[in-house]
Amino acid sequence: MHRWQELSWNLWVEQRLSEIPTSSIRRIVELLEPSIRTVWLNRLYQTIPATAAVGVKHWLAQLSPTPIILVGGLQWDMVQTAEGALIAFPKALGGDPLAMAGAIFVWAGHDLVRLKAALGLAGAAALPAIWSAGWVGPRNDELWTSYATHYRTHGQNLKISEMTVWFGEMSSEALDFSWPLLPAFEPYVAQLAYGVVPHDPGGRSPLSDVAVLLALHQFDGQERLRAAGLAHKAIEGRLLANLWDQAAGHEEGGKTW
Amino acid sequence: MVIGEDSLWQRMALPLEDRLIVTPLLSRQQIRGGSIDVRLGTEFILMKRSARGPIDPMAMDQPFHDYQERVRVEVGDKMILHPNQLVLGVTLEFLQIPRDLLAYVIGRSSWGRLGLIVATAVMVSPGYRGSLTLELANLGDTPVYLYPGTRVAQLVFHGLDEPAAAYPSSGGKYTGPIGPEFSKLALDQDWDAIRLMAERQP
Repeated sequence: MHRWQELSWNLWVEQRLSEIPTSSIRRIVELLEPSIRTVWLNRLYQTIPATAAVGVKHWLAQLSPTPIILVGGLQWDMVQTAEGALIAFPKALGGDPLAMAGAIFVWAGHDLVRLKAALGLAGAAALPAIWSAGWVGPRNDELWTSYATHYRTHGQNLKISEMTVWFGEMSSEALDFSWPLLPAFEPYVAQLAYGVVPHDPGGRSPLSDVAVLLALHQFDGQERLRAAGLAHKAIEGRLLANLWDQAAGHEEGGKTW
Repeated sequence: MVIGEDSLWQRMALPLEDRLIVTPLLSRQQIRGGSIDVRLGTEFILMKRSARGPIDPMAMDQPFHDYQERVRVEVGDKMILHPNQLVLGVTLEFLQIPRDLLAYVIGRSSWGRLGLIVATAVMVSPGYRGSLTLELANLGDTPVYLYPGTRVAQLVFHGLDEPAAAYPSSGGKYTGPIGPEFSKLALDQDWDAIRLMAERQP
């Protein structure tokens, strides 16, 4: 004989499971431990879309063969099964593409292979993303030491001294990684400061989303809130432009530009 | 005078303050003749029937979720527009109109023949900066699917005799949006005069 509270919880779980719109997410949730499942069902039930996550969703799709779903919450969290992973993000950060880029480091956790794959995509925007996300990752010390050492001559461009306050002083351990050259991002800083979506000549979207993220990294306070939406629009534009080029190549054998 | 294709391209290469900005431009073919094609964006405001009362343009202090809902429809997905339904959409492109130009939004006739009206407020002011909110209405008797990313309207540019004041300083209410924006009619300065007249009526 079940207690009525238990029956009520079971009914609530069944209802929430039936409301999950896609089968891939339902399969992930069904594999979770019952105690964890209710937490994630509640997050899925109350979620709001991360408006600036289009870029990091594309990155996550490149990193993982199984689906990774972003779910609004109050703090970063992750759970994964053989069917895929759920990553909770702080809802208040959902409009900032640089903070949302931190999701790939939540996914990487302490796994070195995953971490290097994530660094390969985020490049010089990696530590600004972790800083913006406020993600206290298990390998942050090694990462920060490697990054700050490599880019020390670009300290002002990358706001190294401001990030030091949060990351702390460098440790003796440094992650072994070949950091890329900084992309040119100064024109995008000027465009964001002026109040327009970053763009290249002729209205084309910037080729490097890392450059757009680094431009956004230059802004703080109220200006950051305004610039985040403009930077998101530029990254979304690049993704669409790439898809358009692919479609034109497939269908017409030609290019859109 | 309508601005031609060569001049539009030249204006897109000017210094930032004077530049004609239309981004993202997914294809060069969007600029043809004397117009620029704009695409349907991914965010919409759906109008709902409110249980609390009508929209009062003089006040508009009701909680907005009483009568509207924001939805996002990705490129590759579709959204249904029912007969007589009004939806606010947005252009995929972010624009900056130079201060010596103004633009007209003209719906594509191919969509019009399906019953779709794309914009009722057709003029874009000199100096405007942001994505354009599109008032989408289905005047036909049959539901129509809307596909984000499709070309829904054209912008035709006209030159001014003399540059206008920048849009915000000339009283423009919609500055820098990247998504659809609901009416800000309550911010019109005329309402003060109308309230005053209402108070003085015997």
